[in-house]
Amino acid sequence: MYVIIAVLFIFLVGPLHATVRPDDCFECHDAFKKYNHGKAACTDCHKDTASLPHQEKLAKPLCAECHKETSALYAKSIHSAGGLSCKECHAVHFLDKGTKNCLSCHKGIAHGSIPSKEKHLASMGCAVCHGKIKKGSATAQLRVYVRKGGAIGKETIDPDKNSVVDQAESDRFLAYLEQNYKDLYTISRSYSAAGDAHGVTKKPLQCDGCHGDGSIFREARLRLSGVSSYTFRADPKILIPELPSIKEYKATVHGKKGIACFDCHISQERISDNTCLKCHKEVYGVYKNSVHTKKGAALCTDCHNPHSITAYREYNAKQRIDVCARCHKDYVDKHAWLPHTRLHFNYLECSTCHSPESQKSIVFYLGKRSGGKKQALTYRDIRDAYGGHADLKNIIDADGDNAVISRELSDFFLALQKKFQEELFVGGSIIVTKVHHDYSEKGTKRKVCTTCHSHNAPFYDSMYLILPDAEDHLYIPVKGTILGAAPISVFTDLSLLGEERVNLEDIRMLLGFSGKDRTGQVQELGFKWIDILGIALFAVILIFIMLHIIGRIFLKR
Amino acid sequence: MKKIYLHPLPVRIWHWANAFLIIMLMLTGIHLRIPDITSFPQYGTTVALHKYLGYLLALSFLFWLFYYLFTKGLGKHYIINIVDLKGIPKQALYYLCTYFTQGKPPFTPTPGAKFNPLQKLAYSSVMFLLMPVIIITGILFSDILFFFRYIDMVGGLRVLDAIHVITGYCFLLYLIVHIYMSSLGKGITTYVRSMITGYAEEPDDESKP
Repeated sequence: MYVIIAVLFIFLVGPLHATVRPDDCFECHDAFKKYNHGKAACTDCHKDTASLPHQEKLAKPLCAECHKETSALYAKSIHSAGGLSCKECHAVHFLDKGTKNCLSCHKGIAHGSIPSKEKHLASMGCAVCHGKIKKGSATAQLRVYVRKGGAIGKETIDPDKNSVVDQAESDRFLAYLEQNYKDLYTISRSYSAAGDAHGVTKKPLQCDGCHGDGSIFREARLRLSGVSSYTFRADPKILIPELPSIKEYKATVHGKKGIACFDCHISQERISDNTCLKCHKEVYGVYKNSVHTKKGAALCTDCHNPHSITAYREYNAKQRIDVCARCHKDYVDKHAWLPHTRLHFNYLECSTCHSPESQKSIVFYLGKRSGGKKQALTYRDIRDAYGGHADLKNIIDADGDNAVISRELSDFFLALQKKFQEELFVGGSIIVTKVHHDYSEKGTKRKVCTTCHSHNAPFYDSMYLILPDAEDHLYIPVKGTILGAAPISVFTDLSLLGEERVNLEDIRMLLGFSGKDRTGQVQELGFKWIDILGIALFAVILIFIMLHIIGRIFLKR
Repeated sequence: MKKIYLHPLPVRIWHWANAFLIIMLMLTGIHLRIPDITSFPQYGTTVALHKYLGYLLALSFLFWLFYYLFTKGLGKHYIINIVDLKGIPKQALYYLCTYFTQGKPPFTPTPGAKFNPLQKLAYSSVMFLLMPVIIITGILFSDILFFFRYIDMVGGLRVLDAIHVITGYCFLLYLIVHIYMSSLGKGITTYVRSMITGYAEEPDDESKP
């Protein structure tokens, strides 16, 4: 009984409540008679008109109540941030009058330069890059029309018969066409991608969106027509090639700083020095006056690979030499005058001598010998040894003064050695740590060995220990007589003729005249002990001879 | 005064050539080790000179070795025997005391045995120990990359350098004593002259170290 009353109530009271119909509205709002917004009634949006007469000032209709997803997307967009409402583009009462498109406002805008600009702009709408595009929503098609000649079998296109044409099969097929059907075929490529213009953001889709992991273009077809007709599914990469190094790019120095492909690549031409100059003005100022540019020999990208995951400072001496040796192939022969030529090149890079204004440093690194080969320890080695990430800087720099002295290094080294099966060593090389890009110094006439083979050599004031870390290497400054100090000197793979030997300060320290604490300092002396003992014995013998001479004079012998 | 022919010509030539080489190697060696103490204007010249003089020293050593092997002089003059060992304290005492009191030297050189026990000890140490060590370490230095396997066996470049330099210091210490003791003859230049002429002028007097 109650149920029947309830049903009657809904049937009777419901319609009574929705008394305001569009026709009622049109009595006053004549102009909206032909309004068109799907099946929506006036009161669906203008909710505060449920009873007539309505208030003079009505609340703003909320599109988001129905268009939830679109509104959420739009809320994040640059247009929304600029205060544009839906009405600015959509004729909300008369949808049939059409919607504004990008060009309605951005008329005549010159699109920035991107590689293959015409092709990109012709085959895709603005919203593909500037709006929001769903993953896997785009498709592409490669149409091949062969107008004459013999039939083409399926297996010519898809030899592995998996019904998908991959990159290798596509390349082979196109080569086959060129060889057997030259001038008898045409190729066209079409792309179907649609972005949502509601999601226009400041940052457009990057190149890797389509040319990276292929997540946007998930489907592609290869359609053959003419002498034979087939349609194959295809790897989208045959139409949207994956850019070389795109995967690693985000881990490169440039990638980490958020520099996009098109910040440098404005066409498919190789980038010029002017591109680099946009950011690296100061460095280029030095470089442009150097012999490399004057002779037009080298562009920035001849030496630097902006796509390389490894920053130049992460290169070891050998890798740095390899950069120069791309052009200066005969560098060993050119240095025949240098004693131990190849040995020198094991420890130096070219800039050590040829860029006099660069800052040279001795850099030490940890290495291991495995199977007669020497190799630097990697972060992985360290992680394995410590069973997880180790904050090496704090471990090694026990006193926390942001500098390593020989005792800290030897303590660390000996402790580390216990964690390794292989024999460890401390490698060293003399490389540039702050580059001055003027390589005009040929230095062929000077050949001054004592620039380096002297205790006054500049790199003794600039020494670093390089340790592998999770991302880059840590550069920790090194102080003191680390090269000769015991016991670390024995493990050090770097020995320089003309290193600092014993000096007056050492003798004063040993005799206790310097007022310094002698413990530890004595250990620092390391190989200097040879000279200390040698000179001491020399003095003792001289004194003995003097006494003998005095005896001879005295006894008239 | 009796004169005996103690030092045959090849030995004399070898001695002075060896002396020249060792002194030059010492000067260049000191320059190499402490670049502030200059022997030749260019460090590079010193590097090259030290290397080639070193090769000559190796040849000179081989000449000495083969000469004495050929003339069977090693056993007579250089190899120490028990009698020599017993004579060492006496000889040392001579230089420290008896020499001043005009006493007779305990040893008289003859062409069959020209060195006293102390000389034998000093010269055999130099020729059988110091010389081979400094020559071999020097040769290893001549092409570090080529010999790297052996250098590694020694304990690395730094250890090799230490051995070479310690031996160098031994040579230096030996040299000053040798030069001083060459003045202990009848006259200050007596021994030096005998090393030039070959004739010892006072065979029945003291011997030189």
